[in-house]
Amino acid sequence: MKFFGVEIETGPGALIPREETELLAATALERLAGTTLVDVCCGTGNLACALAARVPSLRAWALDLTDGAVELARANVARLGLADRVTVLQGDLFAALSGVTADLITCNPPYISTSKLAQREDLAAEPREAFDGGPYGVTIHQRVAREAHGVLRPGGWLCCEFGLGQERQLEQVFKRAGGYDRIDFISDPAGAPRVVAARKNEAP
Amino acid sequence: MSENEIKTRLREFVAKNFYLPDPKALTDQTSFLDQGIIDSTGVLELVTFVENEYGIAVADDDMVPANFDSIDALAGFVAKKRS
Repeated sequence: MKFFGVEIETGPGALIPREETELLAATALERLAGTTLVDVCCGTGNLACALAARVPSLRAWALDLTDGAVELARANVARLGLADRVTVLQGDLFAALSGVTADLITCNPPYISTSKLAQREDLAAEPREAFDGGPYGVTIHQRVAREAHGVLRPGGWLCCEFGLGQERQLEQVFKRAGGYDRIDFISDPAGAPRVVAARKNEAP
Repeated sequence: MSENEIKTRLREFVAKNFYLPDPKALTDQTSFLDQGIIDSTGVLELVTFVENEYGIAVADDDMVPANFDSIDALAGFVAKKRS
């Protein structure tokens, strides 16, 4: 399938990239000032690959927890000839990352609440880990907002996708996490906010 | 502040800030999740409210249905945190 200009191979091991995630890619691209990208919850590696293909100077790290996602992401990186600039690592959120300071972090985390996911038979063919956002749907956002702060450079941006109607929640997530001086919400063509971009405070 | 006073205050907040199909049907045991009262669009507002109202700190790990899914659960959680 095509994602933001690159051909991405999909499989049963990871979320099939959705067209709506191109809004996250475009938001991230606009805010990229520097050369270092970390994409967490990378799935097939679609965001890291698409952004690296667009920006020749970009050095990217793509991170995911599951074997299936890491395998697919590595296959996409190799097939697109990006192996010298995109590194895929396996671990819980940022745990596998060492010695990297990011100019930009992207994340399309699971964001469906556990109870709602149980009713979504249409998603049964894809891994549960790709969708399950905990009891209230924002568990992974909460962790990413806190943990990304230690990886981002001052003034760097964290850009995350979220579910329809979750914008009030996301505003609270970033306020509670602290350490971000600007929080922007970006809407899809239908006018629904679907991406949040948060800028890390400049160093005191 | 008694547990009953806490429950009354929590009930007022929930009734004022969340959609209740039938406010009279909200008992102390009503599950907010099962009744669609509080899902991913509201739990953090509830968390912020109890933090400000009762001067407690809610950790991410505390944010689970066992603590936040009914008036009873919340009142118990608040009492535990305040003790």
